Amino acid sequence: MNLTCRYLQDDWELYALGGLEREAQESMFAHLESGCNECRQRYFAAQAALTAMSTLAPNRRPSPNVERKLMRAIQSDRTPATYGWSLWRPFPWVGAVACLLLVLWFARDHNRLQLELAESRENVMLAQQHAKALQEQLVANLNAPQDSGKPPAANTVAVPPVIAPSSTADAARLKAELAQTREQAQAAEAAAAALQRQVAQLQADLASAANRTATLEKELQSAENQVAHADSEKSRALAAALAKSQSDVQRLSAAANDTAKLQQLLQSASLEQISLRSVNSQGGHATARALYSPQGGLLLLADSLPKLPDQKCYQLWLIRKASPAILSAGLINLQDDGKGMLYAPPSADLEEVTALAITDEPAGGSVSARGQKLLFGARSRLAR
Amino acid sequence: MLSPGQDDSFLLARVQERDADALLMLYRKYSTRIFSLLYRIVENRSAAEELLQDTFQRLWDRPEMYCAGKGPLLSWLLTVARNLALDYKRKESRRASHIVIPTGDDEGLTLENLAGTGPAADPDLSRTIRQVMDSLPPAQKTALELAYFEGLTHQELAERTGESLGTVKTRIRLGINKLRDALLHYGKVFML
Repeated sequence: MNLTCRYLQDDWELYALGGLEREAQESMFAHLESGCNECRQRYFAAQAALTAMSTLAPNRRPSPNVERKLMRAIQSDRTPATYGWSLWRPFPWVGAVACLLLVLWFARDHNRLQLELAESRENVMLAQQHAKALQEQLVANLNAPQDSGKPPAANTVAVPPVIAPSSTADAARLKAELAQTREQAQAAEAAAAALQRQVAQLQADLASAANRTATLEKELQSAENQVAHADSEKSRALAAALAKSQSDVQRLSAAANDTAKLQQLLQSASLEQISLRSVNSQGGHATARALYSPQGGLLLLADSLPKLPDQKCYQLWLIRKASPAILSAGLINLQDDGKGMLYAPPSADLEEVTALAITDEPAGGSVSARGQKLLFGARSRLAR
Repeated sequence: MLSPGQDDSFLLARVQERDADALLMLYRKYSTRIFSLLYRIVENRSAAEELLQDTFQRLWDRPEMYCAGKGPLLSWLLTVARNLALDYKRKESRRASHIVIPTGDDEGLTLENLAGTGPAADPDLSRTIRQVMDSLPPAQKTALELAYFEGLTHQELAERTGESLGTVKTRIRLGINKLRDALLHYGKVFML
């Protein structure tokens, strides 16, 4: 444990909670990135405590809609820039706007014609009423006595005085008027029929324009989908290539770093080897060798390690004369073929080590060893 | 064939290769745990669902932000979700000074509320943590809950309780340490 570790050791809980000032957070993050195993263990332990604390929240389940929305969002994977540009693709929009204007114009004209038709129908009705009244009056006058001095019968239809007939001449005039009114009614009916035909034609045009608009909208949607799909494919391929390159760079730089550390360890004057053997049936035929030097660090290479369940990992422990007597050296990076590797940088923790042990621990590792001891190897007495 | 039982690192590698099914598996594995925390913080179902979607959208958009050196994936996802929820809550509280926003428990017993995927928190672990929390001194428990679920900074906690910053920090640190110790005893205790 160096001075930085001592200085930071009480703050890992606060760091995990995220309540420290920005500068403190940054310096602690940088320290973790430097590869300090002990501080990393402290941080993981605090983080595990907070993860466990989240179980205090009563169990709630999200609605299935969230899963659907998430899948839709990631599958469309459309960048805002592409979307913004597609809004300005001119041709489909121009067509759609033109159709919309056409529909509005037809709709306005349609309304005007509907009003005219209603007005015409009203005129026809009024003319028909007028004609009927005239006809009744004519019949009444023809049946009435020629003596104009007598009062009219009680059931005679009352007609306006201006058109009240009192003689045969009046009757003739009324007939002519009736014929004229009938003609007017016929003309109004013809006009109404013509208007109805026009309305029907306009309705057909309106329906046709609406169909055309719908077709254009579909074409527009299809064009947008094609563009989005093409852009998405391209950006996905680029992102994948970029991610692969970044991953390659990281891998190569990690390999270079590992080589430098290994070189430092192998060149160390006090290099020792510790062999670890299986001490538990769970350990199977696993073996491990550690190259160890307090000044150069520790490199553990394990072979034939049994595969662990997903929620478990292998952890290496330093058993020391000094206090604390048992310290974690870190988690073993296990490969599919059962080979495992771990490198611990030089530190004061590596001093006064008497033995090494490997246990199985919950994923993420433990602060103190509590899994099963699987492999064990003591340092030679001569070397201590 | 992908399944939620598969190793997180395998599923994450597939997510980095833009495999939507791998993200779906991770969602099904952890959505209930994360949603429970989000709901506890924002106390609003629709907001919690939006934030849950945002959390996984972040993982999809920038999977390289997570690496094994940051601890288990669930811890990282819970940290991201908690930060989003606390940001949301701060914005809402600023807005609430101007307009009244209906919040609170909008949860009804409906089929939809019972739907969803992913395992809930281990009830034994939850009980253990609850017991530890109940055993803490009241001031320590309150400080820890306010800091974790309400996102109060140490300074805000000190102002609210009228105590020094150092006292507040110590209370939180001790509270987390007791939880950590309880976690150690929760698993199998093994001495080398």
